[in-house]
Amino acid sequence: MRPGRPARRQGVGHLNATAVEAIKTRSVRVRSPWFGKVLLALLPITMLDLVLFVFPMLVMTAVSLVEVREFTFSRHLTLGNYAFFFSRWLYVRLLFKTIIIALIVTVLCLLFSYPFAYFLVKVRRRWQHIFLVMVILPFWTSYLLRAYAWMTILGEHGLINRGLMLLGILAEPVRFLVYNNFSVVLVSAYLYLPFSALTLYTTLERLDSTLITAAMDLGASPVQAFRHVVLPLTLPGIFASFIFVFIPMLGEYITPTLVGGTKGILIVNILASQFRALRFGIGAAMAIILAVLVLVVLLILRRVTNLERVFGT
Amino acid sequence: MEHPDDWLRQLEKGRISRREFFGKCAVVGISAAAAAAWAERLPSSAQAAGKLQGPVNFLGWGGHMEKSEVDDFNAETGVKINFTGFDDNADALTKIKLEGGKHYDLVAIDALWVPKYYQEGLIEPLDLQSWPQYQDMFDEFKGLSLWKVGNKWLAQPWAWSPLIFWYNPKHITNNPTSIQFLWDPSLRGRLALPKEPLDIIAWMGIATGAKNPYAMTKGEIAAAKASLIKLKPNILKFAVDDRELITLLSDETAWVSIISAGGGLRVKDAGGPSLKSLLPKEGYIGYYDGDSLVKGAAHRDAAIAWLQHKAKSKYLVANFLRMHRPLAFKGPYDMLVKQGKAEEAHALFYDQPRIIKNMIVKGPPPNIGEYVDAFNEAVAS
Repeated sequence: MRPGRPARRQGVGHLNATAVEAIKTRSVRVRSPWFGKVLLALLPITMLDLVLFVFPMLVMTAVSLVEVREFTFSRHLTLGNYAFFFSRWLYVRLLFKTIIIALIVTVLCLLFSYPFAYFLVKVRRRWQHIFLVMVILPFWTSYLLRAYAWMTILGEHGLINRGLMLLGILAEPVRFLVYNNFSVVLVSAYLYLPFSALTLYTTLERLDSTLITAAMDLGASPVQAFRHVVLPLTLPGIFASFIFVFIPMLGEYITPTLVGGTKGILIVNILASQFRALRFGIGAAMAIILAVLVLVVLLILRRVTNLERVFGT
Repeated sequence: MEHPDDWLRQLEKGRISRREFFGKCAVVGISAAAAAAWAERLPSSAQAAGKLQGPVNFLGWGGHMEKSEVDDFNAETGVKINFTGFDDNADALTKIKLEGGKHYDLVAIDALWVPKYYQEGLIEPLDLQSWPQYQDMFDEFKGLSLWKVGNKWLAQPWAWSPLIFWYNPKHITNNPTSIQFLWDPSLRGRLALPKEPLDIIAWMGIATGAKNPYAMTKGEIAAAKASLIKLKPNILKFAVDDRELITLLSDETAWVSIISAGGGLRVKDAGGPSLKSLLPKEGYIGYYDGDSLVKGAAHRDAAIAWLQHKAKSKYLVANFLRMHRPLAFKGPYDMLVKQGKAEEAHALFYDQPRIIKNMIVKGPPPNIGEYVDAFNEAVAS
């Protein structure tokens, strides 16, 4: 038993009283300083979490629940800021559109990153490192720059159009590649793909390949082995990947702003404009609605899978 | 005293533990940081001589300062200028409201936003008339009653410009005179407009005949919104800044945009086509801006000295040539004429400050929220 870990109930039952006492004494003696150290180690992250996450969220919630007129905050509690959002069908529709776009991007990332991660764990260690560096490489440039780069690729006079015209495939440049929902999905999928691939890689790397061999020894076809062995065992990775892509996508601002045009805007664009209009109450309410949505998604995922497994403990 | 390299050698030889090594490094790091912070607070040699306390913290637009003037000011006074940019007037207002004079000494503000800052108690009036550059200001700016409180000024005027429709004559050949040309179906996906919801709704107000585009009634706003919805198919995108508009016009992805006076030149400089300009007959929006002293500014005297320094003609000329839009002072125009740049200055309205009286001045409407709602709902529709 690892020091500090409490004795399992079912394991204690058959031990005699002296042994139990010994375990308890040992456990208490060993756990106490260990426990203190863990608490101490957790202190910085807890403080950081409290200051940078919990406190701002509390402030945001408070602001969303009072009447705010520019910089004047009343003490009168109200749900008016939430009512404002839900009474405007266009905003609600935009929220649904954001969810759908986020889902599409997440699924695309999974579809591309799963085979890639699977391939990665199968190649030699040296190649693994090279491919991993290639996955991480985009992070060496700024997020904004990567999104901008896509404008020069997809634009009317961009790389794709020029290339296709040079090859004689197109006579005139096409304009549907950018400033619409398609470009938002494409660029977002590109930007979030590394998160998805790395998460799946860590899960697939830990997969015991002898289980696949065993399944195939027992007569499973490759597809059956994948469906009944590999997929269930990598579900935690898939869910983790989902979390890492879907949740930030709900709050995506830069990509729709740069490549979305008037057709590709998402809910955060509207949210940001509320702050620019000095409507802090409505902006805060919209932020809380998004946060609640994220929380709901996490709770559903927690129900569907065991999140402890997702993070591999 | 031991050198950090010695610690590294001791660590390698096992004479000190890793914990001791990192402990020593941490002590040095903390001491260095503390010393740097202390040194930052210490006045420089010039300041120590009883001059100015800096640094001057300036929240503004990049077009409000030149590197040469910053360097010269630093050399003359020992005061550094810390520049922080912002997205728009509302963003700057929020920052000043939250952080005030403790963090910022000066702020750049657009025309009608200046009185709003004053009403919020965020800026301190300036005794501009006693400053040397006052005589150099165009009369049109001396007469800006909106920016005056008694004999004092709420901001030192800086730049100004009408917002102009720049269009590509290769694709738009009918020499439009009215704003209505924007709705031409042949311009589908060819308009690149600045992402300024208040101004866009105000432009729509101009198109629909609103009396005062920055103070529209609910009915007028509804008409402006309907007009924007109709225009939407023609809008390629709302660009985040001027640079993006210039790029889109330069590579002819967009055929029309709204930029200040130097838009055509900037597109040309970027290798783009020659553009034509249009000030619509229905009216046009424009701006003038200035720099204001934040109330309770921690480095008030240095900030005032900086305002006086930056209004010298040689810096203003450099600013004009970089930004391609007119300024509020006469001196630089005279210098430009002497330099043989009278034609360029004239093309960019430098010698026509009377235009500011004809402009619909950019500013916050009293009902900002309704404008933003109209914009959002039109875009999300």
